[in-house]
Amino acid sequence: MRNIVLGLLLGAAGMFVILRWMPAPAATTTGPAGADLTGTWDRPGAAKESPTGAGFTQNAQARLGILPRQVFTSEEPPMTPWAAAKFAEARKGKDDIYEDGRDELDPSYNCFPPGTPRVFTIPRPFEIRQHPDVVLLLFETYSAMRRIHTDGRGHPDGYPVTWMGHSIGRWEDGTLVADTTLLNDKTWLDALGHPHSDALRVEERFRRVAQDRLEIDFVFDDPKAYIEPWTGKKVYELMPPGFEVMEDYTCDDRLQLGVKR
Amino acid sequence: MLRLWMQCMLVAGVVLAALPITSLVLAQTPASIPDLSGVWERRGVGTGPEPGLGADGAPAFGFTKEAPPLQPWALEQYNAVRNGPLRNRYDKALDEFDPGLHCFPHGPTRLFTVPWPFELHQFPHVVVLLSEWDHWVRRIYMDGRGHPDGYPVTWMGHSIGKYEDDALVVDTVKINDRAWVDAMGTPHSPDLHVVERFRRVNQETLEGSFLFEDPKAFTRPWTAKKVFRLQPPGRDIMEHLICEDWLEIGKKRQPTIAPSFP
Repeated sequence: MRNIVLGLLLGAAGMFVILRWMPAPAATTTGPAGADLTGTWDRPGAAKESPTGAGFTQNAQARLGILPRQVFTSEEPPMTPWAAAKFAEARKGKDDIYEDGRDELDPSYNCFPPGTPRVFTIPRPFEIRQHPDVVLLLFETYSAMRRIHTDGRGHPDGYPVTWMGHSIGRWEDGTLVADTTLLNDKTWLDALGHPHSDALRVEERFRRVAQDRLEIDFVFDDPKAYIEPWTGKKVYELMPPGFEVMEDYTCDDRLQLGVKR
Repeated sequence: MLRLWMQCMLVAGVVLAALPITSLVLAQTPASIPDLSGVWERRGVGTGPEPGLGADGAPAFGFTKEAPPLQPWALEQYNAVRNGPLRNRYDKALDEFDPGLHCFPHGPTRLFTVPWPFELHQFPHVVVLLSEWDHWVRRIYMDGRGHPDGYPVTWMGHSIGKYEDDALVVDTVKINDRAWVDAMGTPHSPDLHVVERFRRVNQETLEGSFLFEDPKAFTRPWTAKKVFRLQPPGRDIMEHLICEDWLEIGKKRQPTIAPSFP
């Protein structure tokens, strides 16, 4: 009798442990080709950075083989004359090749939203949250967000040109392949000041190469600004539990009642 | 002897797996979480008995027919921003005094008093409200955390939530007092504490019940209810930026001190 009671208690405890800790099945992706990219992502080492953001200088990073956060590639993209002139303007007086472009010409410094892909060159984290029909990118920068529709839709006829563009995606072998177009031309492509036109089309391949590592491969296609498509890559690290995306809202230090639109 | 033990444990485990006890243990499994997801808006709610009210009796631009129970300083401000040509009793406050029309962000509750949709997404440890107005993202943490000590005051505040039966219950603090509670001009202090309960009363209707507490601004806590309609498929949230037409290269960031409201 005692054995039976003990058996029941142990069985209950066992079932409790198993069921309580079993991961709840969450449908996040479309089909077997999908993957779970869920998490809060930031530059490798960001979680350990001091609050003042002290770290290696961009050039030191480059010497270590770490791509500075300002850029997508260490190679110079193949600019058209129009783009080269704009870029030169943005870099006048800059000695360090990885220094941010001139503030007075930088849309982000003038309270413009960062847009994409610029947002990936700003050192703040972002979250990926997903359902089967949409992947959400929630950036700390500017509290910006992107929807990547994975429900099979195309880019709608007559959809307006916007800061974040319109993104559609599909899953291929655990990789989210996204196509973004309809981007306005009011932003820089990166923090150095590489320009783009409203013809820019961006392909991104999001891949979780390890539990704590996300890689994004980019192809930038903009015939008005670049002679041919060119590629870039960003690598992100999963932030530890408790690492919250904070609120960021550009230029809210200059809000003034009475200063109308 | 050992084999008898193991046999008993096996039987016990199987038996208990079938018992309701285990479903109580799994209180927050996907099966028991109410589905509140969708694109929600006042569009389709219909108009009410008086101009400015929806069919649910709540003002489009506010939360309650009655003016909230305001402390004297708050009442003075509320009256001042409504002292002028209003289209009806429940109209929004005057534009010239409205921070929302001077590029100030709306707060989390004011976003429920705009004629724009929001999208509610439920994920395992967070519920996210995406408003079309000014692309705001409001995170409601569902993982059991509390409000962190020393968390800064922000435009959206800090929200934590849990499911209770068929409702999502949300607790929010640390809301920036430079934004109004609603579009009618109800002010608040940084001590504002908001409790919301969201229930899907039917497939098409999301009901929000609100409790506003702020001893510095209100003479007592007050409550309100507003409903939102599920929007049809194809009603996508579009991109919107407050004061987008004001953006201009050359208008740099300059720190300013916002004057107090009249």
